[in-house]
Amino acid sequence: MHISEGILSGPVLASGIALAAAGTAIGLKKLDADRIPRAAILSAAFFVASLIHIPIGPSSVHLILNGIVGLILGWGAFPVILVALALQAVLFQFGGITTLGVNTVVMALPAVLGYYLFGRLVGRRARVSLPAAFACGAFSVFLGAVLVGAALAFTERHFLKAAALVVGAHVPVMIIEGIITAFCVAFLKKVQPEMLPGKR
Amino acid sequence: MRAYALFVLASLTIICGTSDAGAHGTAWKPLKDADLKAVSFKYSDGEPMAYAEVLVFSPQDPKVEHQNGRTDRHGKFAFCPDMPGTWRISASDGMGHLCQALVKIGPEAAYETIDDPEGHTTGGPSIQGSNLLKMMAGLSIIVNLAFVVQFFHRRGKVSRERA
Repeated sequence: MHISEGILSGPVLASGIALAAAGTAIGLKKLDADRIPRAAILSAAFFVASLIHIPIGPSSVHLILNGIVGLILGWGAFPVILVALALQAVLFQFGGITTLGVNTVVMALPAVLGYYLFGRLVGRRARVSLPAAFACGAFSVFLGAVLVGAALAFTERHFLKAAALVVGAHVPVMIIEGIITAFCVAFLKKVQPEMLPGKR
Repeated sequence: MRAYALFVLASLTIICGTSDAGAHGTAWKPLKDADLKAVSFKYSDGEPMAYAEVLVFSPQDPKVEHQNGRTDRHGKFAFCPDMPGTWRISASDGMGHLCQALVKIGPEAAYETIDDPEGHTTGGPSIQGSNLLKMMAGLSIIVNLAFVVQFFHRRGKVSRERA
């Protein structure tokens, strides 16, 4: 889902930088000192997840884990994902430096929306929390793919074609991410339920 | 009348028989290796950019493509430059990944690349080293960054308590 350099237009890049800066500022303000170790672990998990590739026909896609990051950190997903993306761009040339803002928005904004949409449901009984966690993981990837299509569309490319291509390629990732998010939520409910949003 | 019709028919037959009917026919011939230039595209993890959309721009016209097509299943694409200069070949998979190659064609049509002949990666500064080492470096940076942030948080908290 990383957008490479040289694809997006100047206004789209500038908008991405502005939105990412705003989101990161809000995230840093809401991230208190007690949650920094948690944020570091999730940032590390996000960083490593992009190295796990799932072959899809002639191409391949990678895990994202923005759903579980959003559920646990909320707005804190912005600085966490920004740091991981910056390291991926420098060390692995995933995405780019100029597209860092747009890539951060593409992955962190769905995480925050997932937190608000599914956060309260995750703290309830397993019958509700596990499907909600699955939906959060899948929704975060789906919305990220749609945002990639929108970013390409604003650069004078066909939105429906680009979005359909990206969403279609990420359907297996949505399912896998949903399962991983559900497993993580089930595990956290047993060992440390206060980490989940509905239990705070 | 009948003779006249036969005369016209014969004339038409002679004219059409001698005209070049190649416009409706096809033919092929193999090209020499020297006429062909080829580029290989791959993702940063080494996987080929298979069936990616390719646009080739000549030195003469950087806006209208000289050729378009797709890479093969191994991420390779071949084209025939018809003039010396710098040719730009861009490959896009339609999902936000783009790679641009600059190929310099000399007057004698020698094939050379502007950048590292071993391959050029786009998307940011490149750091040499195995993927495992890079991953360890990234994780180390994240952990150390967390320590630094937490150190300054606690120092600020202690300062506020003393005040």
